[in-house]
Amino acid sequence: MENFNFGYTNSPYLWMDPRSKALLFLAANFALWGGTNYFASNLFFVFIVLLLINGKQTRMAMTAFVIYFAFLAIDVVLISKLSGTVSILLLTIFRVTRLYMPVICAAILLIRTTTVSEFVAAFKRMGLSDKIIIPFSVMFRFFPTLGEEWRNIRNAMRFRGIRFDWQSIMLSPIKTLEYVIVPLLMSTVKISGDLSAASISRGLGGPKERTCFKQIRFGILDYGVVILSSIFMIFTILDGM
Amino acid sequence: MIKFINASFMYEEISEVGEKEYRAATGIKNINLHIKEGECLVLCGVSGCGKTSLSRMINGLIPHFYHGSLEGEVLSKEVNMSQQAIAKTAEKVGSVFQNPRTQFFNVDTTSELAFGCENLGVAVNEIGSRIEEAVEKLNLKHLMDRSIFELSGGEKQRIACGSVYATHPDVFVMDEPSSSLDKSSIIQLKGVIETLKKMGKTVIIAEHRLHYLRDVADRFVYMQEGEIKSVYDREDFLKLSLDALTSKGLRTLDLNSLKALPVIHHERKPSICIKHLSFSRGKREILNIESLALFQHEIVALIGDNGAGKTTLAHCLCGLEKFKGMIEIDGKVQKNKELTARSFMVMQDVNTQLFTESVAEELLLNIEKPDKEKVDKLLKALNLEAHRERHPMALSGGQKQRVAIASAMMAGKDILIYDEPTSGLDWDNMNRMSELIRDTEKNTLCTMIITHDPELIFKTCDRVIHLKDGQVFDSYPVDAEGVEKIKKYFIE
Repeated sequence: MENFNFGYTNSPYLWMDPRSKALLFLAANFALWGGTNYFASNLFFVFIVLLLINGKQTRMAMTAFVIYFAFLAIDVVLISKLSGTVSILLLTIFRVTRLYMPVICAAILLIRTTTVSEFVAAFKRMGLSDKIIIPFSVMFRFFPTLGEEWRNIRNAMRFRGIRFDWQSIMLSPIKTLEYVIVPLLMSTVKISGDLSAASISRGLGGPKERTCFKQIRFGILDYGVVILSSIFMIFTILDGM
Repeated sequence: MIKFINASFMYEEISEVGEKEYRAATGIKNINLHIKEGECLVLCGVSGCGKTSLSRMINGLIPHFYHGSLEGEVLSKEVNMSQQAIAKTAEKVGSVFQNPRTQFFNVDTTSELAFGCENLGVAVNEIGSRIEEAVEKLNLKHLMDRSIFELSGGEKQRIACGSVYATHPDVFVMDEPSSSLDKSSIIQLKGVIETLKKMGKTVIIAEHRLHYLRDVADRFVYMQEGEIKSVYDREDFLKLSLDALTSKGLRTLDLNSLKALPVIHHERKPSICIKHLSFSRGKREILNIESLALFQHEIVALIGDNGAGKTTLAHCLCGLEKFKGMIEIDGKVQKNKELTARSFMVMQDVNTQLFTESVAEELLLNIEKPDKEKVDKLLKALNLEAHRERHPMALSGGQKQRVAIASAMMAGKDILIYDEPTSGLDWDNMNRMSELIRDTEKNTLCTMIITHDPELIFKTCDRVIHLKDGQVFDSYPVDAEGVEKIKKYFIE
């Protein structure tokens, strides 16, 4: 919980619409459930990695790339030669992790490289009502705050000699949970009260139709993403049948 | 512009049997006040005097968000505010709040500037030009497109002002805007208020710190127990002596007039020695201290601008950070864990520091040999006797702070560190805090106060350590010469 980067980013090389990122995420899930064809899945994964690099998440992209293909190599070379419990165990570790990689990467692309205002603008364009959009943006606003509060509570626990480790969680789970939840609730209740007062006094929830300053538009990259994601999804469905 | 006619308000509270109750002790009564257009009005008085409530009646949070019984009228340009929807009021009255952490709705600054306008349904092109205008008028260019979470307190308050400014209100209401700001941020805030005033906006500020407002305010309204006691023009208010101000429970108007208590010079032996301490986050070096000694039973003020490394130094002393170098207590090098066991940091926000269901339990948490007598003694000393069975979260902010201090005393901590203990406190409470720190000092090895409050330093501290860019810039006792140095730092 130390590093909350949600909803804020350095600008990508080529701008991408949150809607096409969402579609990409959906397509990545197809790779997880329908992917029997190595070649198509691998190609699609490389495409996602390239988009991550475009979003300036280079380090993440590289790590994912190496893990994916290393695990694939292990899968192809090693596991086919083994049998029994060991092979099932190795299969679970290496193949399942690998299958999840495209989904994880697409999720990171969606979350790390999209600002809250871009999300809100996309929702607005999709015709969602403020009743959904406002709680959503408050949620994003709260992640970093929770991070800050959590750090304060951890420090306070250290001073008071309250343990928070595997041992305390296993031996006295309820007590440990209470020591975390009580102060966390108290401080977040206070913060959310203040936040509501501030937003109401700034006209949130008024009768007028809200406008959205951030405008979003499909770019060249977005058309590419939509076409490739659609082809991949149709392909996996047909392949599965 | 704004008229209060016999206005009174009591906050609604839900009693234990679930019925609505109105408490006369909270709220305000018999307010008659006429605020003129283009005026800068300061509301002052001790905590709980009603200045915040008065400001809430202007921005409509009373009675639309904080419910209760309202009598009399508050008129803004002849419109009754209590009858007007709060979203309508938001078009005319902009509000800036005390805590920069909790008044932002967005995560990045540009969206935050647009937020008020979006709510009011301003057209997209218009929002763009209004943001540009706010950026230019309030000098915010370098703050655009940044994450709110990487800004300093002062920068956050400037964005808050800018965001309100973009909605083009006639009236600005600020509720203790300086309480979590350092000295350079306060100067920035003062600049913003001056700009607003020049533009002919009406500015109403409820505030404890008064010195930064002496040149910009037109009138000062002094409140006590929910009523307006007197209204001063600037000239008359500035004539009030320091004694007259403190008898009203008010903070100083002029930092230059402050005097320090005489320093007691007695033989002091170094008890905590910091040697070759350095700490980096990523590639950036945050702290680099060659050597620093803290003496036995000494109260040290840690001052310096935001980002100078004050909090990091405190965290290192408490063993919370993995630093390079060593910290010795009485000649013995301490491991991080040992430091944490021997220290306690009283945070500004005490809500995250209390863990149990009653005050007495809080004191006994993780104490191996419970000593009932010591608990009684501590509760008495810290004026908490009456609350021993109450839930810590049901107490007031000051009481919670005292419970946290009592728990540290109970655990026999050697190093006590206070993080901005008096930000947002009036003179009376600051004085009480100062006495409390001086009293508890006898039971500890060393006390350190991170602070931006020169009044607290003069009343409480023996020595000042001034950090700059992660290094000890200066270190001096609070004597005649030291007082001049402190004044020079806080006034410039």
